[in-house]
Amino acid sequence: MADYFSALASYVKDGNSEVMRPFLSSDEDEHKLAIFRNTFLSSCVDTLKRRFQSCVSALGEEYFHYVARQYVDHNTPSSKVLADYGNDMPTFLLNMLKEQNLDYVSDLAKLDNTWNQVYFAKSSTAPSESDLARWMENIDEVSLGLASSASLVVTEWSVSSVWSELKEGELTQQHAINPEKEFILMWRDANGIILHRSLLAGEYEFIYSIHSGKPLTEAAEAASQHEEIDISAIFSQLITNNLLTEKV
Amino acid sequence: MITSLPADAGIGLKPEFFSELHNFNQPGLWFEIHAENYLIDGGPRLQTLQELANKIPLSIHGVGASLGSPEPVCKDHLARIKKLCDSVKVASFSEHIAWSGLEGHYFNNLMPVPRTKASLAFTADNIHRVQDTIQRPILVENPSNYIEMASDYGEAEFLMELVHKTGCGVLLDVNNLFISSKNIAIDLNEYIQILDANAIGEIHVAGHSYDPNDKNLLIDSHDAPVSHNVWELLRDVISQTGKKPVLIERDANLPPLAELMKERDFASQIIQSSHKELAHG
Repeated sequence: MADYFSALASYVKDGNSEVMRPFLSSDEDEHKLAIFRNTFLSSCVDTLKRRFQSCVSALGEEYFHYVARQYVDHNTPSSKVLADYGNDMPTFLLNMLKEQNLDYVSDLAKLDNTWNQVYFAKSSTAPSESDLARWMENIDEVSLGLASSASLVVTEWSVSSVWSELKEGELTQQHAINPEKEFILMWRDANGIILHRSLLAGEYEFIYSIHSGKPLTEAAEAASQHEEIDISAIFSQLITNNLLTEKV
Repeated sequence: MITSLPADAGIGLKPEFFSELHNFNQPGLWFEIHAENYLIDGGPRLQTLQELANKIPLSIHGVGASLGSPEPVCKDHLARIKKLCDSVKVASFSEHIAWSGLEGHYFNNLMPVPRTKASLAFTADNIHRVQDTIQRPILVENPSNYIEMASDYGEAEFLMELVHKTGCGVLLDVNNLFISSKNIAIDLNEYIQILDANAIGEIHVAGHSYDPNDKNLLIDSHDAPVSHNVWELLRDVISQTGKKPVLIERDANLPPLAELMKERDFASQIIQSSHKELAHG
């Protein structure tokens, strides 16, 4: 009995139906097994298409399908929840597309992954006025972090504006994609809309430091190593958008 | 009680329909979701589901528990299912007599379980694991059959054995039954006679298609309207079981909501035309 389960699992993964012959009542059934392999492949590819919409727009349906099939061949899902599938896609794309000078597509995938994470994240409760007052009183000690519905991303190419248009389907204007690091904050607002903003290096450093558990004063000091930025304005934006929580 | 769904027709709830459904008021309507699409921590999709489930009965239909696997149901998966069931008002929970993964690899597939004494035992154990976790009886669905397998039991017998061993109910997928009758010559009348009507907590109907490479092979594709043959089989089943909750399953090529509701209303008429009175649930 255990052999049957291993054989069918193996067939679905690699398509070699020979291993299933001992379990089939007729030769005719061998080609019917393709239903199980085709369902597996198409559901994985469809999941990747839904999750990496900007990459589909950038590469075109047909080529993305080819790339996704390669990914599936090397990465059998390890979760029963297909929405979890594709976490390694940015690295896979980087390795696969680098030689074609399409490595920026890996950054698009990184942003698609972050969108997915932020969209399905737990909602956080807005800090009360007394929480805010306490944070300000204990500015040297209080340990804050980004809400789970917010995330920082660093891309190797400047792709955020291209990404936001590709995610909706197609480019409406010309954009330059340069090999310059981009620091991006992405978050879900109170209406469930996903927003993002490019950050200056100092702004990123400030938010990253807060998220790493550094007290506000230390985070501000780390940020000051970069260009001059208005720390109080950034902090106020983080509070207004309910992007900070206290680490317990 | 194996389900508290109304004995009327429901539809699969898709995020594509969310905006139209907020102010929807249709007596007897109920929704079904695939559990795995909502095993998430939060966000608008889960929030909308919670709001809708407070107004309209909700059935949760799992596709990933892999009840028919010799491996125990994954504990992490069970924990996520429980979290979902605790976060929304649930009228019914169902899963499949199938398996979908092995040794940490998952195939997003409903693969066939040989109906042997050994598989009866481990499938029953897995049903117990789910029921113990979510603290309610579940319904188990008959599969679409594509290949004939050596078996100790007929499919209907196998389902009834599981009902007796675990206290679960049956989700009779009439489209799957029709497909199995064509693909592997399951005898429809015999099958329906063996099932205890009181164990049937829910019925599914859906569209199917033909395999492009084998015109004799029907595929459970859920991508088309319910076929005439399946409607007729539903009518026959309902005349024997009495009024039951019936779901229009549509997962691909989604039509506009109004079109899906026409199918739903047709199913509702079939249900209400049944004069047979049986205990429900």
